Formats: sequence, C-alpha cells, structure tokens
Amino acid sequence: MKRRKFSENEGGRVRPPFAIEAGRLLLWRLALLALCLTLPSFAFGQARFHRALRPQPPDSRAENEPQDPAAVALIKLMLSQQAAYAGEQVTERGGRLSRQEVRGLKGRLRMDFIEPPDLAGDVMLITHSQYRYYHKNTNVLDIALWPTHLNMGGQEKRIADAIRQKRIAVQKVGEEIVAGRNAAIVQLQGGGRFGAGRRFQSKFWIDKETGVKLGMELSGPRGLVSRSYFTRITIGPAARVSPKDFSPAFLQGAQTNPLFPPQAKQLRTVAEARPLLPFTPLEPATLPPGFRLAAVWVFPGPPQSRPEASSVLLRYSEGVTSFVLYERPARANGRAFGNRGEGRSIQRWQADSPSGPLDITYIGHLAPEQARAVRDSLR
Amino acid sequence: MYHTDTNDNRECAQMRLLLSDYLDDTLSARQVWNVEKHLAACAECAALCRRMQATVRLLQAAPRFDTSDNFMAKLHARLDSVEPERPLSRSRLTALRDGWAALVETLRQRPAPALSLGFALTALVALLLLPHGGAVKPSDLPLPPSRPTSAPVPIAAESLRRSVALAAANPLDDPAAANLEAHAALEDAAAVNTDAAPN
Repeated sequence: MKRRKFSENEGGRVRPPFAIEAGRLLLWRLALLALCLTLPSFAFGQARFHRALRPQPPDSRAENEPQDPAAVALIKLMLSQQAAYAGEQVTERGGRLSRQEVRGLKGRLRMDFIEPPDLAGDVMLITHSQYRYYHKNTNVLDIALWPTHLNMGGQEKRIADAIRQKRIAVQKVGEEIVAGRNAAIVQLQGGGRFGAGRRFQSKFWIDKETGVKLGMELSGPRGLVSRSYFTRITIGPAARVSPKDFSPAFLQGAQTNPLFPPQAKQLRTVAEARPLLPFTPLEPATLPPGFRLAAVWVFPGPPQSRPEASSVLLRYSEGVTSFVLYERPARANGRAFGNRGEGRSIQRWQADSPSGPLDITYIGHLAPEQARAVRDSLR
Repeated sequence: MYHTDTNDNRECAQMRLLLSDYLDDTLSARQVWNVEKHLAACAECAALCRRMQATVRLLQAAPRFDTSDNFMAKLHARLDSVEPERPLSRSRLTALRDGWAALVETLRQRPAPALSLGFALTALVALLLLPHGGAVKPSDLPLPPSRPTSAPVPIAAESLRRSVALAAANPLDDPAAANLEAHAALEDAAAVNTDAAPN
C-alpha cells in the first residue's frame, strides 16, 4: 500500500500525514483554545492563586501602618467641640428628604423638623445623658436615658479605643466648603481598613476651625445610604443659642414614653437574656465581616402581661454602623407571614424558636445577601 | 470681686475659647494665669476642662507615628492617582486598548476567575460552532432572579423609635436620617393597615 506523503496533492487539497475527522478536529481546536485562554492567566497569577486558597495571617505591614494623624485630630476636634451653632440641615435617605432647623451648644443638639409635612413640628433633643423626641401630632415625648457607657463620654472613649485598635480606620480625604465654612473631609471605615470586601464607611465634613459637623454621609456595601448637610449655618455667639433652647416649655405638657424603661435590662450576651424572657430568643450564627454583638436589651413587659408583651433587642455593630434585631413572641391570633420588605433596610418576618414562633424585625443597612444570611442563620 | 451673671457668662465664654490651647500648653504665661484663676473660681468650667483633658488623654493614648520627609509628596501622588478619570472623548481604538489592558490586569490578579472565564469562553465558542436544534426562544431562557416585591413593612413603632434613639447615642451615626427612615417605614405600615401593633 502506497503511503501518502504530506506534499501529495489530491484533487487540489493538501492532506496532513495523519488525517483527522472533521468532528475530532473541532474538538482538538476547542481544547487548544481552552489551553490558550487559561494557561497564561493561570501562570501569571499562580502565586496569588495559592495565596487565595490558603487562610492568610493578618497583613502585618497593614496592621503597623499608622492612622492618619490629621484625621484623628479632626475626629477629636469634632467629638469635643463646644461651639454654639445654628442653621438648616437637609437629610436624604432612600429617596426621601427631610429639613431641620438645628441648634447646638456644648455637645447638646436640638433638631426642629420642618419637612416632610408629617414630621413638621417634631423636635429631637440630644444631650450627654439623654435623648428626647417630641411627636407633635400625638403630643408624645419619647425619652431615653443613656446608661453610663452609652452617654457621650462613654461613646468618645469607645470611638477612641476603636481608632487606636484600628477597628475603625480614619483618613482625611479632602477639603470642601460647606455652607460657607471650610470643612475637612474625614472618612471612617468600619471593620478595619484592610479587611476583605467592601465595608461600611462614613464621611464627615468637619469645620476646621470649630469642629462642628457640617455634613455626613453613610455608605454601605451597595453604595450611599444617607446624607445630611447644612445648607446654612452660623457658628459662635452670633448663632444666639441659649441653654434654654434645650429645655423648651412645650415639653412640660407632653405625655412621656420611656423607650428604655427602668425595668429594661441591658446585657452583654443572649445567654444572659434567656432566663429573663418568657420565650427563647434567636441569634444569628452568621454575621457579616467585622460585626459583633454590641448589646442586648430585655424588655420584660408589664407584670402578669402576656408573653408577647416581652421583647428583646439585639444590637450588632462593626464600629461605624450597626444593625438591630428585635424579637418578640408572635401574637396568638396573628397571621403567620414570610419575610416582608426583603432588600429594604427594615424587614419583618416570623421565625420558629424552641418556644414557638417569633416576630423578628431587622433594622439595618446590610447588603441584601448579608441580611438574608443573618435571617437564615437565626438559631 | 463682685460679678454679675452676665459678666460671669462672658468670662466663662472667653475662658472656654482658651481651654483647648490651655490643654495644648500653647498659651502665654499671663493667659495661663488667667485661665487657672478662672478655673479655680468656676466649677462648671473646671468640670469642662477635666472632661476635655480626659478626652485629650484618651486620644493621646493612641499610637502616634512620625511621617517620613516625603510623606506629603507621596500622599499627593497617591491622591492624584485616585482622581477619577475625566470623561474624555476617546477613540474606539483607545477605549478598546484600555479595556483590554484592564481585563488582562484583572485576569492576572484573579487567576481563579480567569480559569473559569477561560472555560466559559470555550463553552461559548463550542456553543457557537456546534450545530443545535434551533434558536432559543426568550421563553426558554431562565428568568433572572426577581427582586421580591417590596411590600410595605408593618413594624412595631416602638422598635423603630428605639432604633432612632440608639442612632442618636452614636456620634458616628445620623439620627436625622434614622428618624426619616423610621418615619417612612411607619408611613408604609399605616398605608396598608397591617396587623402590626406597638410593643
């Protein structure tokens, strides 16, 4: 049998020495193409590939990198500012807008809501040791007296500790003029500067002269969450802010509503809360990176009340931002329901606990998949 | 010495303006003497001074590091490098070249996705080359994961009010924004007249 040579011409076509069927030829080409595409990129990144597969120790270089001293000084100035100021602030969140007349003096803050119409006339008062919110429509005054660690002194220490331990990364990222004032922009990032993935971050526009907070932005994994900024402001004696502004007379006639009544107990762990509740609270087995349980509040309800009058609030924080889970037994005549408002910052659903179904309310700004992971891991 | 209330307030205001510099030890001897004289006589200003001192001590306890001589130059260089690119009217060829460079860089940094991308491209080429039974109708394609309907959320008002109060207790949070959000949630709840009830 005559063996064909490579150069042999059959009907105008040159045939290779090893003839391959058309289908197999296609497969060979595909395999070659796959190799061409994958091998170079694999080779380029081989070192990183191995690195990504193995758990890595913390980046010691990053850990040793100092915080931005200018940013730390500005945060210090903002937290300790004592100046008197007055102006108008605009707040945007979730496509909604609010306007407030704001007054500040020696760490005290008063906001008179102008917009939206339903909030017009409401007043929020924040001082070192308490929070008050006057609902004009109902003439109700919400009051929260801070436990010592939650008052402003305690918060300053908490923030200073978090900055020192680098749980909050601070950085000055620019300067801008806000409402006619020179502001430095300081960015705070929770969960550490060098953690994986996108984190929550806040930006503060701080008046360089007085430390007054002229604006702030909170961003989450999905982008901007909220923004507040002064549109006009007067700082100093010309602001005409008096200590009396923080004890307005109209609060005297309001019906008070203690948000954290004396019988409410603040605890550190869910285990401590269990014996105090007539139901078994649930806690998430999975938390987003950087978050940890910050506090547990138990609200036992009035004596001899039904179990559903009791509730528990779990607050998780990663330094810059936090989310809250609020649990109480489902009402006996209530209808069961699935998750409502999935993807929103406020969600409610029912979950089974060993003591029966619970109504769970989530309030926070986690990414939808993170919020879902929290919900699905409740045990 | 006799002081009226107004004089006291004025003196307090003047001294408080100096407190920060006093703690930083940048006042003149005479100013220091004046401040200390006032602090000895005014309990409120003395308490304020102690609080400021405590804050300063806390922040001073944070580790401090000296920056290198060329820190500012490096900082500016880095800031320049993170400036957003201006939207120039680039030619298609330039855009294609930049896009390719970005893709190559991404592939280099992320080999595992690159591997997957390689296989995905191979599969795509195979799909294009191999004959198939007919055109895929849109109805045959799997539906994208739909976002759940954003039904208004019934919420216990009390939990929302507590959450606003907690935001107010955190100097890094925005109580006005938290209040706006709580208000919006309550508005939604009222709109559907749901079974929610306050705690």
